[in-house]
Amino acid sequence: MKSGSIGLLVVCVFMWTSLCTLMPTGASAAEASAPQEAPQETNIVLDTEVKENGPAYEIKQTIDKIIAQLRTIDSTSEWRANVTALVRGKFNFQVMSQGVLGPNWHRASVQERERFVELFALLLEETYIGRVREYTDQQIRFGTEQIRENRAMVDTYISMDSGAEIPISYKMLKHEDEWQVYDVVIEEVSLVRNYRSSYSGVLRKKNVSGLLDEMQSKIEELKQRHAEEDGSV
Amino acid sequence: MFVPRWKCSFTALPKLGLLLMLLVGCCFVFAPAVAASTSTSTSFPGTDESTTLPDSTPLATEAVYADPFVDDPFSDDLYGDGDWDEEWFDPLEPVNRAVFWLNDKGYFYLLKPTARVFRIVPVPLRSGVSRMFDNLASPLRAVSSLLQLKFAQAGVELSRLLINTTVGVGGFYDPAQNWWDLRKQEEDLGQVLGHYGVGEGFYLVLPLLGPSTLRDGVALVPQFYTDPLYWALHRDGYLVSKGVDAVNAVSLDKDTYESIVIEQLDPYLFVRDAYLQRRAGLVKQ
Repeated sequence: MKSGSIGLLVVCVFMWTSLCTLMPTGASAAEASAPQEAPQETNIVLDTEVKENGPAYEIKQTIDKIIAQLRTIDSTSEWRANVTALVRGKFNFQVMSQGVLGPNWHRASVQERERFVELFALLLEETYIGRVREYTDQQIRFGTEQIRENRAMVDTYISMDSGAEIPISYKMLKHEDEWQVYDVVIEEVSLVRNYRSSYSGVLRKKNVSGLLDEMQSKIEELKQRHAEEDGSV
Repeated sequence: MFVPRWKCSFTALPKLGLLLMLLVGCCFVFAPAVAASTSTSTSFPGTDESTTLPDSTPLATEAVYADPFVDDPFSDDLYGDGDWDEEWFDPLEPVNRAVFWLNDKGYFYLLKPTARVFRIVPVPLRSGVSRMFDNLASPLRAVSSLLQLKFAQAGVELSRLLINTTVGVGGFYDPAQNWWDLRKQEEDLGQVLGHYGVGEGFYLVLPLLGPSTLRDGVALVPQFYTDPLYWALHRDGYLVSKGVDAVNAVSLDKDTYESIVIEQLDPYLFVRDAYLQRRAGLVKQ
Protein backbone atom coordinates (compact mmCIF):
# COMPACT_ATOMS: atom_id res chain seq x y z
CA MET A 1 0.00 0.00 0.00
CA LYS A 2 2.58 2.46 1.09
CA SER A 3 5.17 1.52 -1.49
CA GLY A 4 2.42 1.55 -4.09
CA SER A 5 1.50 5.16 -3.38
CA ILE A 6 5.14 6.17 -3.40
CA GLY A 7 5.55 4.49 -6.74
CA LEU A 8 2.54 6.34 -8.09
CA LEU A 9 3.97 9.59 -6.82
CA VAL A 10 7.30 8.91 -8.48
CA VAL A 11 5.58 8.19 -11.78
CA CYS A 12 3.53 11.37 -11.52
CA VAL A 13 6.57 13.42 -10.70
CA PHE A 14 8.49 11.90 -13.59
CA MET A 15 5.73 12.61 -16.08
CA TRP A 16 5.30 16.12 -14.86
CA THR A 17 9.02 16.73 -14.88
CA SER A 18 9.52 15.43 -18.38
CA LEU A 19 6.61 17.55 -19.51
CA CYS A 20 8.05 20.67 -17.93
CA THR A 21 11.53 19.91 -19.19
CA LEU A 22 10.58 19.13 -22.73
CA MET A 23 8.30 22.11 -23.17
CA PRO A 24 10.89 24.87 -22.87
CA THR A 25 13.71 22.84 -24.41
CA GLY A 26 12.93 23.72 -27.99
CA ALA A 27 12.66 27.42 -27.38
CA SER A 28 15.41 27.87 -24.85
CA ALA A 29 18.04 25.58 -26.33
CA ALA A 30 18.82 28.17 -28.97
CA GLU A 31 18.87 30.95 -26.38
CA ALA A 32 21.03 28.96 -24.00
CA SER A 33 23.67 28.36 -26.61
CA ALA A 34 23.59 31.92 -27.90
CA PRO A 35 25.24 33.68 -24.94
CA GLN A 36 28.27 31.46 -25.13
CA GLU A 37 28.94 32.59 -28.67
CA ALA A 38 28.55 36.26 -27.85
CA PRO A 39 31.75 38.31 -27.84
CA GLN A 40 33.37 38.06 -24.44
CA GLU A 41 35.32 41.29 -24.49
CA THR A 42 32.78 43.34 -22.57
CA ASN A 43 31.24 40.55 -20.46
CA ILE A 44 27.86 41.84 -21.52
CA VAL A 45 25.24 39.57 -22.97
CA LEU A 46 22.16 41.06 -24.52
CA ASP A 47 18.94 39.12 -24.26
CA THR A 48 16.89 41.63 -26.11
CA GLU A 49 17.55 43.94 -28.94
CA VAL A 50 18.89 47.16 -27.50
CA LYS A 51 17.72 50.21 -29.37
CA GLU A 52 20.15 53.01 -29.87
CA ASN A 53 19.80 55.92 -27.45
CA GLY A 54 17.25 54.00 -25.40
CA PRO A 55 17.69 53.58 -21.64
CA ALA A 56 19.24 50.11 -21.89
CA TYR A 57 21.66 51.32 -24.53
CA GLU A 58 22.75 54.23 -22.39
CA ILE A 59 23.24 52.20 -19.24
CA LYS A 60 25.16 49.59 -21.23
CA GLN A 61 27.49 52.24 -22.58
CA THR A 62 28.18 53.56 -19.11
CA ILE A 63 28.80 50.07 -17.72
CA ASP A 64 31.16 49.35 -20.62
CA LYS A 65 33.12 52.49 -19.92
CA ILE A 66 33.24 51.81 -16.17
CA ILE A 67 34.50 48.27 -16.73
CA ALA A 68 37.13 49.60 -19.11
CA GLN A 69 38.23 52.03 -16.42
CA LEU A 70 38.28 49.32 -13.76
CA ARG A 71 40.59 47.28 -15.95
CA THR A 72 43.16 50.07 -15.74
CA ILE A 73 43.35 50.05 -11.94
CA ASP A 74 46.82 48.58 -11.94
CA SER A 75 48.29 50.99 -14.45
CA THR A 76 46.71 54.32 -13.54
CA SER A 77 45.87 56.09 -10.35
CA GLU A 78 43.06 58.17 -11.83
CA TRP A 79 40.62 55.30 -12.21
CA ARG A 80 38.66 56.42 -9.17
CA ALA A 81 38.22 59.93 -10.51
CA ASN A 82 37.30 58.62 -13.95
CA VAL A 83 34.69 56.22 -12.64
CA THR A 84 33.29 58.95 -10.42
CA ALA A 85 32.91 61.20 -13.46
CA LEU A 86 31.11 58.45 -15.37
CA VAL A 87 28.74 57.76 -12.49
CA ARG A 88 28.04 61.46 -11.99
CA GLY A 89 27.13 61.73 -15.64
CA LYS A 90 24.63 58.89 -15.52
CA PHE A 91 23.09 59.12 -12.04
CA ASN A 92 20.74 61.89 -11.08
CA PHE A 93 21.72 62.50 -7.49
CA GLN A 94 19.26 65.35 -7.10
CA VAL A 95 16.29 63.06 -7.71
CA MET A 96 17.84 60.29 -5.63
CA SER A 97 18.41 62.62 -2.69
CA GLN A 98 14.86 63.86 -2.85
CA GLY A 99 13.65 60.27 -2.76
CA VAL A 100 15.91 59.41 0.14
CA LEU A 101 14.83 62.34 2.28
CA GLY A 102 11.17 61.96 1.36
CA PRO A 103 9.01 64.11 3.61
CA ASN A 104 12.14 65.42 5.31
CA TRP A 105 13.09 67.09 2.04
CA HIS A 106 10.41 69.68 2.73
CA ARG A 107 11.63 70.20 6.26
CA ALA A 108 15.20 70.87 5.13
CA SER A 109 16.36 74.31 4.11
CA VAL A 110 17.65 75.01 0.61
CA GLN A 111 21.26 74.96 1.80
CA GLU A 112 20.69 71.72 3.64
CA ARG A 113 19.18 70.18 0.54
CA GLU A 114 22.13 71.21 -1.59
CA ARG A 115 24.56 69.90 0.97
CA PHE A 116 22.65 66.65 1.24
CA VAL A 117 22.73 66.05 -2.54
CA GLU A 118 26.48 66.64 -2.55
CA LEU A 119 27.17 64.48 0.51
CA PHE A 120 24.89 61.69 -0.63
CA ALA A 121 26.66 61.54 -4.00
CA LEU A 122 30.02 61.45 -2.26
CA LEU A 123 28.85 58.81 0.16
CA LEU A 124 27.52 56.55 -2.58
CA GLU A 125 30.75 56.96 -4.50
CA GLU A 126 32.85 56.05 -1.49
CA THR A 127 30.54 53.15 -0.74
CA TYR A 128 30.12 51.47 -4.09
CA ILE A 129 32.95 52.45 -6.38
CA GLY A 130 35.48 50.50 -4.37
CA ARG A 131 33.13 47.54 -4.40
CA VAL A 132 32.42 47.33 -8.14
CA ARG A 133 36.05 46.58 -8.86
CA GLU A 134 35.46 43.13 -7.40
CA TYR A 135 32.86 42.50 -10.05
CA THR A 136 35.01 43.43 -13.05
CA ASP A 137 35.09 39.93 -14.51
CA GLN A 138 31.50 39.00 -13.80
CA GLN A 139 29.20 38.49 -16.73
CA ILE A 140 26.31 40.88 -17.14
CA ARG A 141 23.15 39.87 -18.95
CA PHE A 142 20.62 42.44 -20.09
CA GLY A 143 16.98 41.59 -19.71
CA THR A 144 13.93 43.56 -20.65
CA GLU A 145 13.64 47.29 -20.99
CA GLN A 146 10.37 48.94 -20.06
CA ILE A 147 9.65 52.50 -21.06
CA ARG A 148 6.71 54.57 -20.01
CA GLU A 149 6.67 58.21 -21.00
CA ASN A 150 9.72 59.75 -19.37
CA ARG A 151 10.53 56.82 -17.11
CA ALA A 152 12.16 53.50 -17.76
CA MET A 153 13.32 50.37 -16.04
CA VAL A 154 16.16 48.25 -17.37
CA ASP A 155 16.69 44.75 -15.98
CA THR A 156 20.19 43.31 -15.83
CA TYR A 157 21.59 40.15 -14.27
CA ILE A 158 25.08 39.62 -12.90
CA SER A 159 26.46 36.09 -12.76
CA MET A 160 28.12 35.24 -9.48
CA ASP A 161 30.91 32.75 -8.77
CA SER A 162 28.40 30.30 -7.38
CA GLY A 163 26.54 30.30 -10.70
CA ALA A 164 23.60 32.22 -9.31
CA GLU A 165 22.46 35.38 -11.03
CA ILE A 166 21.80 38.58 -9.13
CA PRO A 167 19.09 40.74 -10.70
CA ILE A 168 19.89 44.43 -10.82
CA SER A 169 17.36 46.85 -12.27
CA TYR A 170 18.02 50.45 -13.10
CA LYS A 171 15.17 52.89 -12.80
CA MET A 172 15.70 55.77 -15.14
CA LEU A 173 14.29 59.15 -15.88
CA LYS A 174 14.50 61.10 -19.12
CA HIS A 175 16.08 64.42 -18.38
CA GLU A 176 16.71 66.79 -21.29
CA ASP A 177 16.81 63.98 -23.85
CA GLU A 178 19.14 61.89 -21.73
CA TRP A 179 18.30 58.86 -19.62
CA GLN A 180 19.54 59.15 -16.07
CA VAL A 181 19.43 56.59 -13.27
CA TYR A 182 17.44 57.59 -10.21
CA ASP A 183 17.25 54.25 -8.42
CA VAL A 184 18.95 50.88 -8.48
CA VAL A 185 16.98 47.80 -7.43
CA ILE A 186 19.16 44.88 -6.42
CA GLU A 187 17.32 41.64 -5.66
CA GLU A 188 14.05 43.44 -4.98
CA VAL A 189 15.77 45.95 -2.71
CA SER A 190 15.57 49.53 -3.89
CA LEU A 191 18.64 51.53 -2.99
CA VAL A 192 16.71 54.75 -2.53
CA ARG A 193 14.10 53.09 -0.32
CA ASN A 194 16.80 51.38 1.67
CA TYR A 195 18.55 54.66 2.41
CA ARG A 196 15.25 56.39 2.95
CA SER A 197 14.23 53.89 5.58
CA SER A 198 17.51 53.93 7.46
CA TYR A 199 17.92 57.70 7.26
CA SER A 200 14.41 58.34 8.48
CA GLY A 201 15.37 56.15 11.45
CA VAL A 202 18.41 58.34 12.04
CA LEU A 203 16.25 61.47 11.62
CA ARG A 204 14.01 60.30 14.44
CA LYS A 205 16.81 61.02 16.84
CA LYS A 206 18.54 63.88 15.03
CA ASN A 207 17.67 66.83 12.84
CA VAL A 208 18.81 67.22 9.26
CA SER A 209 22.04 69.03 10.08
CA GLY A 210 22.91 66.27 12.55
CA LEU A 211 22.43 63.73 9.76
CA LEU A 212 24.59 65.83 7.44
CA ASP A 213 27.38 65.92 10.01
CA GLU A 214 27.18 62.19 10.46
CA MET A 215 27.37 61.66 6.70
CA GLN A 216 30.34 64.01 6.47
CA SER A 217 32.31 62.12 9.10
CA LYS A 218 31.39 58.80 7.49
CA ILE A 219 32.69 60.03 4.14
CA GLU A 220 35.97 61.09 5.73
CA GLU A 221 36.29 57.73 7.43
CA LEU A 222 35.71 55.84 4.18
CA LYS A 223 38.06 58.11 2.22
CA GLN A 224 40.82 57.43 4.69
CA ARG A 225 40.16 53.71 4.52
CA HIS A 226 40.28 53.72 0.71
CA ALA A 227 43.44 55.79 0.68
CA GLU A 228 45.06 53.19 2.90
CA GLU A 229 43.83 50.39 0.65
CA ASP A 230 45.07 52.08 -2.51
CA GLY A 231 48.37 52.80 -0.85
CA SER A 232 48.89 49.24 0.31
CA VAL A 233 48.05 47.66 -3.04
CA MET B 1 20.31 1.46 17.58
CA PHE B 2 20.01 4.72 19.40
CA VAL B 3 18.81 6.51 16.30
CA PRO B 4 15.28 7.14 17.62
CA ARG B 5 16.62 8.76 20.77
CA TRP B 6 18.63 11.31 18.81
CA LYS B 7 15.70 11.97 16.55
CA CYS B 8 13.35 12.31 19.47
CA SER B 9 15.23 15.02 21.31
CA PHE B 10 15.82 16.86 18.09
CA THR B 11 12.29 16.81 16.76
CA ALA B 12 11.03 18.23 20.04
CA LEU B 13 13.14 21.34 19.50
CA PRO B 14 11.30 22.86 16.51
CA LYS B 15 7.94 22.02 18.06
CA LEU B 16 8.90 23.86 21.20
CA GLY B 17 10.07 26.72 19.08
CA LEU B 18 6.75 26.82 17.27
CA LEU B 19 4.86 26.91 20.55
CA LEU B 20 7.04 29.75 21.81
CA MET B 21 6.59 31.68 18.59
CA LEU B 22 2.84 31.31 18.73
CA LEU B 23 2.79 32.48 22.34
CA VAL B 24 4.89 35.50 21.50
CA GLY B 25 2.67 36.09 18.50
CA CYS B 26 -0.44 36.07 20.68
CA CYS B 27 1.16 38.57 23.03
CA PHE B 28 1.73 40.91 20.15
CA VAL B 29 -1.72 40.75 18.71
CA PHE B 30 -2.61 43.60 21.00
CA ALA B 31 0.75 45.29 20.71
CA PRO B 32 0.20 47.23 17.43
CA ALA B 33 -2.42 49.48 18.90
CA VAL B 34 -0.23 50.34 21.88
CA ALA B 35 2.87 50.77 19.78
CA ALA B 36 1.10 52.94 17.25
CA SER B 37 -0.20 55.31 19.86
CA THR B 38 3.23 55.72 21.43
CA SER B 39 5.13 56.02 18.20
CA THR B 40 3.01 58.80 16.80
CA SER B 41 3.57 60.92 19.85
CA THR B 42 7.31 60.39 19.85
CA SER B 43 8.01 60.71 16.15
CA PHE B 44 10.65 63.20 15.15
CA PRO B 45 11.64 64.47 18.58
CA GLY B 46 14.76 66.01 17.06
CA THR B 47 13.01 68.12 14.46
CA ASP B 48 10.94 70.93 15.79
CA GLU B 49 7.42 70.47 14.57
CA SER B 50 6.77 74.19 14.90
CA THR B 51 8.62 74.93 11.66
CA THR B 52 6.15 75.47 8.89
CA LEU B 53 6.00 72.63 6.43
CA PRO B 54 5.57 73.82 2.87
CA ASP B 55 4.15 70.45 1.98
CA SER B 56 1.08 71.90 0.34
CA THR B 57 3.11 73.29 -2.53
CA PRO B 58 2.25 71.28 -5.64
CA LEU B 59 5.14 69.41 -7.13
CA ALA B 60 5.99 69.21 -10.78
CA THR B 61 5.57 65.46 -10.71
CA GLU B 62 2.12 65.51 -9.18
CA ALA B 63 0.83 63.38 -12.04
CA VAL B 64 2.90 60.47 -10.78
CA TYR B 65 0.65 60.14 -7.75
CA ALA B 66 -2.37 59.58 -9.90
CA ASP B 67 -0.89 56.47 -11.46
CA PRO B 68 -3.75 54.02 -11.89
CA PHE B 69 -1.49 50.98 -12.11
CA VAL B 70 -0.84 49.74 -8.63
CA ASP B 71 1.38 46.86 -9.72
CA ASP B 72 3.26 49.10 -12.07
CA PRO B 73 7.02 49.18 -11.41
CA PHE B 74 6.96 52.95 -11.71
CA SER B 75 4.13 53.52 -9.29
CA ASP B 76 6.42 54.54 -6.45
CA ASP B 77 6.62 58.27 -6.19
CA LEU B 78 9.84 60.09 -6.72
CA TYR B 79 9.64 63.01 -4.45
CA GLY B 80 6.76 62.80 -2.18
CA ASP B 81 5.28 61.69 1.02
CA GLY B 82 3.91 58.66 -0.74
CA ASP B 83 2.74 55.39 0.63
CA TRP B 84 6.14 53.76 0.80
CA ASP B 85 7.28 55.86 3.68
CA GLU B 86 5.53 53.73 6.26
CA GLU B 87 7.85 52.57 9.02
CA TRP B 88 8.50 48.87 9.41
CA PHE B 89 6.86 47.44 12.49
CA ASP B 90 9.61 46.63 14.95
CA PRO B 91 8.30 46.64 18.53
CA LEU B 92 11.15 44.43 19.72
CA GLU B 93 13.82 46.81 18.44
CA PRO B 94 15.90 46.86 21.65
CA VAL B 95 15.92 43.05 21.83
CA ASN B 96 16.55 42.79 18.10
CA ARG B 97 19.44 45.18 18.32
CA ALA B 98 20.95 43.10 21.11
CA VAL B 99 20.67 39.91 19.06
CA PHE B 100 22.01 41.80 16.03
CA TRP B 101 25.01 42.80 18.10
CA LEU B 102 25.48 39.21 19.22
CA ASN B 103 25.27 37.90 15.66
CA ASP B 104 27.69 40.60 14.61
CA LYS B 105 30.24 39.36 17.13
CA GLY B 106 29.64 35.79 16.04
CA TYR B 107 30.21 36.79 12.44
CA PHE B 108 33.45 38.65 13.03
CA TYR B 109 35.02 36.34 15.61
CA LEU B 110 33.83 32.94 14.44
CA LEU B 111 32.26 32.76 11.00
CA LYS B 112 34.57 35.15 9.18
CA PRO B 113 37.90 33.73 10.37
CA THR B 114 36.71 30.22 9.54
CA ALA B 115 35.54 31.37 6.11
CA ARG B 116 38.89 33.01 5.51
CA VAL B 117 40.66 29.71 6.12
CA PHE B 118 38.09 28.04 3.87
CA ARG B 119 39.15 30.30 1.02
CA ILE B 120 42.19 28.05 0.50
CA VAL B 121 39.80 25.71 -1.30
CA PRO B 122 39.56 26.74 -4.98
CA VAL B 123 36.47 28.70 -5.98
CA PRO B 124 35.02 26.13 -8.44
CA LEU B 125 35.00 23.54 -5.68
CA ARG B 126 33.38 25.86 -3.16
CA SER B 127 30.74 27.06 -5.59
CA GLY B 128 30.03 23.44 -6.41
CA VAL B 129 29.45 22.72 -2.75
CA SER B 130 27.25 25.79 -2.52
CA ARG B 131 25.18 24.47 -5.44
CA MET B 132 24.90 21.08 -3.74
CA PHE B 133 23.39 22.67 -0.64
CA ASP B 134 21.16 24.72 -2.87
CA ASN B 135 20.03 21.60 -4.67
CA LEU B 136 18.94 20.15 -1.34
CA ALA B 137 16.64 23.14 -0.90
CA SER B 138 14.87 22.29 -4.15
CA PRO B 139 12.19 20.19 -2.40
CA LEU B 140 11.36 23.18 -0.23
CA ARG B 141 11.04 25.44 -3.26
CA ALA B 142 8.95 22.86 -5.09
CA VAL B 143 6.62 22.33 -2.14
CA SER B 144 6.30 26.07 -1.60
CA SER B 145 5.47 26.65 -5.26
CA LEU B 146 2.93 23.86 -5.13
CA LEU B 147 1.27 25.27 -2.03
CA GLN B 148 0.87 28.55 -3.89
CA LEU B 149 -0.61 26.63 -6.83
CA LYS B 150 2.26 27.77 -9.03
CA PHE B 151 2.39 24.47 -10.89
CA ALA B 152 4.81 25.49 -13.61
CA GLN B 153 7.27 26.74 -11.00
CA ALA B 154 6.92 23.56 -8.97
CA GLY B 155 7.58 21.58 -12.13
CA VAL B 156 10.71 23.59 -12.84
CA GLU B 157 12.02 23.00 -9.33
CA LEU B 158 11.29 19.28 -9.48
CA SER B 159 13.01 19.06 -12.85
CA ARG B 160 15.96 20.92 -11.43
CA LEU B 161 16.12 18.52 -8.51
CA LEU B 162 15.98 15.45 -10.72
CA ILE B 163 18.39 16.73 -13.37
CA ASN B 164 20.92 18.25 -11.03
CA THR B 165 20.93 15.34 -8.63
CA THR B 166 21.63 12.87 -11.43
CA VAL B 167 23.32 14.58 -14.37
CA GLY B 168 24.66 17.33 -12.14
CA VAL B 169 26.39 14.88 -9.77
CA GLY B 170 24.37 15.50 -6.64
CA GLY B 171 23.93 19.16 -7.48
CA PHE B 172 27.61 19.94 -7.84
CA TYR B 173 26.89 21.25 -11.33
CA ASP B 174 23.79 23.01 -12.57
CA PRO B 175 22.99 21.47 -15.97
CA ALA B 176 19.32 22.30 -15.47
CA GLN B 177 20.13 25.99 -15.81
CA ASN B 178 23.04 25.72 -18.20
CA TRP B 179 21.47 23.33 -20.69
CA TRP B 180 17.74 23.68 -20.25
CA ASP B 181 17.54 27.21 -18.89
CA LEU B 182 15.55 26.02 -15.88
CA ARG B 183 16.26 28.69 -13.32
CA LYS B 184 15.92 28.51 -9.58
CA GLN B 185 12.53 29.67 -8.31
CA GLU B 186 12.97 31.61 -5.10
CA GLU B 187 10.18 30.27 -2.90
CA ASP B 188 9.84 29.21 0.72
CA LEU B 189 7.10 28.63 3.26
CA GLY B 190 7.27 32.20 4.56
CA GLN B 191 6.35 33.34 1.07
CA VAL B 192 3.52 30.81 0.99
CA LEU B 193 2.05 32.39 4.10
CA GLY B 194 2.60 35.83 2.62
CA HIS B 195 0.95 34.73 -0.62
CA TYR B 196 -2.21 33.88 1.30
CA GLY B 197 -2.28 37.25 2.98
CA VAL B 198 -0.47 36.54 6.24
CA GLY B 199 1.31 39.72 7.28
CA GLU B 200 4.91 39.86 8.42
CA GLY B 201 3.88 40.31 12.02
CA PHE B 202 6.94 42.14 13.17
CA TYR B 203 10.64 42.19 12.48
CA LEU B 204 12.72 39.67 14.33
CA VAL B 205 16.45 39.07 14.51
CA LEU B 206 17.06 35.41 15.30
CA PRO B 207 20.24 34.25 17.00
CA LEU B 208 22.62 32.74 14.41
CA LEU B 209 19.96 32.77 11.69
CA GLY B 210 19.80 36.55 11.32
CA PRO B 211 16.99 38.78 10.09
CA SER B 212 13.50 37.35 10.02
CA THR B 213 9.93 38.21 10.87
CA LEU B 214 7.34 36.51 13.01
CA ARG B 215 5.81 34.98 9.88
CA ASP B 216 9.09 33.80 8.37
CA GLY B 217 10.31 32.59 11.76
CA VAL B 218 7.23 30.43 12.23
CA ALA B 219 7.63 29.15 8.66
CA LEU B 220 11.18 28.07 9.47
CA VAL B 221 9.90 25.32 11.74
CA PRO B 222 8.07 23.18 9.17
CA GLN B 223 10.83 24.08 6.73
CA PHE B 224 13.15 21.79 8.68
CA TYR B 225 11.09 18.85 7.53
CA THR B 226 11.54 19.65 3.84
CA ASP B 227 15.33 19.49 4.20
CA PRO B 228 16.63 16.08 3.09
CA LEU B 229 19.65 16.55 5.32
CA TYR B 230 17.38 16.73 8.34
CA TRP B 231 16.13 13.25 7.57
CA ALA B 232 19.48 11.87 6.48
CA LEU B 233 21.67 13.07 9.33
CA HIS B 234 21.60 12.93 13.10
CA ARG B 235 21.57 16.08 15.13
CA ASP B 236 25.31 16.69 15.26
CA GLY B 237 25.79 15.84 11.64
CA TYR B 238 22.96 18.13 10.65
CA LEU B 239 24.34 21.04 12.64
CA VAL B 240 27.80 20.49 11.16
CA SER B 241 26.36 20.43 7.65
CA LYS B 242 24.54 23.70 8.30
CA GLY B 243 27.76 25.17 9.63
CA VAL B 244 29.69 24.09 6.55
CA ASP B 245 26.97 25.59 4.37
CA ALA B 246 27.18 28.93 6.20
CA VAL B 247 30.99 29.08 6.20
CA ASN B 248 31.11 28.12 2.53
CA ALA B 249 28.55 30.78 1.63
CA VAL B 250 30.45 33.47 3.54
CA SER B 251 33.72 32.40 1.91
CA LEU B 252 32.16 32.90 -1.54
CA ASP B 253 30.54 36.19 -0.64
CA LYS B 254 32.42 39.39 -1.35
CA ASP B 255 32.25 40.71 2.20
CA THR B 256 28.77 42.16 1.85
CA TYR B 257 28.07 42.24 5.55
CA GLU B 258 31.38 43.86 6.45
CA SER B 259 30.80 46.58 3.89
CA ILE B 260 27.40 47.34 5.33
CA VAL B 261 28.82 47.60 8.83
CA ILE B 262 31.65 49.85 7.68
CA GLU B 263 29.69 52.03 5.30
CA GLN B 264 26.25 52.56 6.81
CA LEU B 265 25.31 55.09 9.44
CA ASP B 266 23.09 52.54 11.15
CA PRO B 267 23.74 48.97 9.93
CA TYR B 268 20.80 47.60 11.90
CA LEU B 269 18.28 49.83 10.13
CA PHE B 270 19.90 49.20 6.76
CA VAL B 271 19.78 45.42 7.13
CA ARG B 272 16.24 45.53 8.50
CA ASP B 273 14.94 47.49 5.54
CA ALA B 274 16.85 45.41 3.01
CA TYR B 275 15.47 42.18 4.46
CA LEU B 276 11.88 43.38 4.67
CA GLN B 277 11.97 44.93 1.21
CA ARG B 278 13.35 41.75 -0.27
CA ARG B 279 10.77 39.58 1.46
CA ALA B 280 7.94 41.85 0.38
CA GLY B 281 9.25 41.75 -3.17
CA LEU B 282 9.52 37.97 -3.18
CA VAL B 283 6.01 37.53 -1.81
CA LYS B 284 4.65 39.77 -4.55
CA GLN B 285 6.30 37.69 -7.29
